[in-house]
Amino acid sequence: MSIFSCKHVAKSINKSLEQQLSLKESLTVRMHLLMCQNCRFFKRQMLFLRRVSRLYSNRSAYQSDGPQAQLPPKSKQRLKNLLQNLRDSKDSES
Amino acid sequence: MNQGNSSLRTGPESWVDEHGDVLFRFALARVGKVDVAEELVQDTFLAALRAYDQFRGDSQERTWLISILKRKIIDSFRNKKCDSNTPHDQSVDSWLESLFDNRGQWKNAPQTWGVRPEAALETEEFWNMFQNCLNKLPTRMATSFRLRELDNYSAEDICKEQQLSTSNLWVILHRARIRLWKCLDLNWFNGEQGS
Repeated sequence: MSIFSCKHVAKSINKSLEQQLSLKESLTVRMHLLMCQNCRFFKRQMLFLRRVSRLYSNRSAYQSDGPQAQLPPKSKQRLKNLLQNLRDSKDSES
Repeated sequence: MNQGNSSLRTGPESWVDEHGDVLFRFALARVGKVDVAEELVQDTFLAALRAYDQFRGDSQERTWLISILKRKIIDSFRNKKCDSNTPHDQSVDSWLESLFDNRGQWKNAPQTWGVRPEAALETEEFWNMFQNCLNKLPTRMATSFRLRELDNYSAEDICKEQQLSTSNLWVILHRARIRLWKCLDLNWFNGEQGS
């Protein structure tokens, strides 16, 4: 990888969030960051994004994010019956 | 009859109406298959019913059910085999390429997000915007990103679930992060509503 390529360095920065970089790669990133303010912003903002993501997962919106899908009505009925039956048998045990 | 039993009477069947869709959506966003998501919801309710006596009510019912669902999702990943034969993803992400010139320099230099970007986290608008950005990600990227960054699942578990090699996974995560980063930048920190 080229020490002058922001494209490569950006990729390495993201890789470093997942795994330890090789000595060579990590030195290249560090040298590049010394001379490139753009990538220094990028790195700081990537770390911020990670923090935002972790915080988001503690919020209630997180529990209902994703595609606006619904459990099919048939499955709902089947689940209700199942829970009803199991609860009844649990009650009669106690 | 103790109190636990009387609350059991009003609990379980109402779960399906009150939490069924939310649990289903949560699962679907992570496993991507309707039938698998349905099964996970069922397993969650069954496990919840068995553990109901231990539910102290010190957390919300929904939070409690989600925590059970998250464990069920991990279990379903672990039942799969890691596919080490997956060929390395050689596809080119032309959107990502377009951010750089042919010497690998940023076409648009990243701008500062201010001295205290944390201030944004205190506003509801920021979080709505973040959720919108998340929902705009292509499905595969969104799934991997959710599993890794929101749910904090290990890379190994995600690779099993998604049938990916680890290097494929981090390429996907890289692409997802850059999209989110750009979305945040445009819609918040350096866009029209920038604060």
